[in-house]
Amino acid sequence: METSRSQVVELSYTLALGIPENILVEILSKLPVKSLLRFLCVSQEWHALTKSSYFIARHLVHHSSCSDQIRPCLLFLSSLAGNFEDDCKPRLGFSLLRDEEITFLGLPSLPNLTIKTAALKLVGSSNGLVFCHVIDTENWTSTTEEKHDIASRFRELLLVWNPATQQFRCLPEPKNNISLEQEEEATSVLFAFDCVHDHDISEYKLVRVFSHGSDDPTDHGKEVTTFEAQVFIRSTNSWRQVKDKLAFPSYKSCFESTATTLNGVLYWKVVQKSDECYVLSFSLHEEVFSIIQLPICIRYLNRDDYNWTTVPLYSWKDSPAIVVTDYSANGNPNIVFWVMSTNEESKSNTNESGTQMRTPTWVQQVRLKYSVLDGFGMIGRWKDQFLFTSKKTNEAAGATDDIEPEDLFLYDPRSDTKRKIVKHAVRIKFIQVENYVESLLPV
Amino acid sequence: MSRVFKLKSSDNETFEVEEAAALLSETIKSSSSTEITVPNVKAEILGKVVEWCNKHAESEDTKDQLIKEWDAEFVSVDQHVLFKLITAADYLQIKELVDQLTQRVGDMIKAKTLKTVEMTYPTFNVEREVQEELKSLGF
Repeated sequence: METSRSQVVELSYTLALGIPENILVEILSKLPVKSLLRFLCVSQEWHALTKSSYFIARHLVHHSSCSDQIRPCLLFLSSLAGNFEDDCKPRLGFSLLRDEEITFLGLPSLPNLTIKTAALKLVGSSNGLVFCHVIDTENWTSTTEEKHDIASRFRELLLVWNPATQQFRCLPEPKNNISLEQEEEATSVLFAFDCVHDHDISEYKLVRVFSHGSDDPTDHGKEVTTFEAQVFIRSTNSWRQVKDKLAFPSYKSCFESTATTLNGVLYWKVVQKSDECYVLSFSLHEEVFSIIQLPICIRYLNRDDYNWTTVPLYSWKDSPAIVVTDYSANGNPNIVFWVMSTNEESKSNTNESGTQMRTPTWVQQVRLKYSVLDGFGMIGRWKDQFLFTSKKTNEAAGATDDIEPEDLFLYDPRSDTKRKIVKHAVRIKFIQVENYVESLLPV
Repeated sequence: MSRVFKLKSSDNETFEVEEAAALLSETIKSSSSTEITVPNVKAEILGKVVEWCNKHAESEDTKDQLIKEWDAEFVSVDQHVLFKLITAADYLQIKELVDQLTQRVGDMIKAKTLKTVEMTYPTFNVEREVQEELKSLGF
């Protein structure tokens, strides 16, 4: 439909004039953020309206509910292919998949991050806000303040960003209430992010979980490791120590890359010195830790299973799921999803330190033949289908540091079909994925 | 035997509507009387709204392709008619119709449209033009 310039002007004039506010809200809430930002200058009423939390909520509801059944809207942590030799370094950032088109977005204020010099983790995305944790070694210029040796060589940023409105903010750093000696050992740090819908649509909460040696001065063998948390809430704009702590015995290490946030709960895998594995969780809403026991057949660390230590917990119909590789009778490997049941009957009791220990039922839900995924890397799920990447053959692969670009596929286990979902020819490597919906939420 | 509702336009024309079609309107649903006057809405517009209700009452499945095409045709009207239809649908609280009409307005002013305009008139800066025109109109 052709609309001439004068019609656009006339339309805006009519709208700004005598339309009841509820109708104006209905019309404007159907527009994408890009259009709304353009129309901020139409009138003061429009400007105020688009900043009101009622409108922001209405806009979000509309865009969340009309998410396309066929075409996903996803945000990927990714690297734009480049070549270190040609001075066109592979850049680290995000790519947005919408309507089967991929667009690469550099991080605001940090457009030149590369895989060699920075670590970037996509903590989560909720209601259009994206949270990332950046450790950047290259662009840091140390100040004259005295800093711990390691700390002076990099800077760590917590960035909250709305890619649609392009607003972003660096959050203040939390302070650890632990001794310096313990701080040196505090290597496991996990983040989780969720929007807290109680009163204000724009309220969000960020959690930082970290571990350190025991607080108990008699524990010289460092048998018990303590997990603690701090939370940051947007409205208070500050960090607060969480009361609950988790004392985990015989702790060996945790697999930070396995951390996943699901329905406001952060889950991550840990292993004890005896190779016995557990899933630990922290609920953002209740602010409590708990230990979750695994079914016997997957309770012990299988060093041959690559998936175990690196693959994050997935969500399967809103429950956490662990992905393992096992072998069927004829020796063929399978990928199995063990899904945790979250019904109320799952047993739980409290251990000596007061932490809840849960023994829910785990059910094998999906078995995929490994051969289906040969040559592919699974990076996530979308609705009932799995997201895969595969490496394109790159004839011009130059330096060994060159990142090979990848195609993106959706695999439907019910029909055993793969579908390529990216048409655009940009060379991007996909690392992590989150569902994304655009919104006007302020950072 | 279903009831028959009478809708009266502002220029005193009456439309008879079957119950199934009439109850698509929340206003009629919560009204105690079967005779409703719709103020500020002329017969021409009210007639179209009644037509929409009749069409949607007879077809159960709103996701049907034929209905979708009919709806698309229905909202492809002149801007002035569109706003009058919105006013009527809003008064009668017919949610689905309001959604379709407002979606149509939204589609007309989406970014893509401005892009088309920018491409057709490459020497114009559309946003600036729009702002200037609005300023001259008193905004």
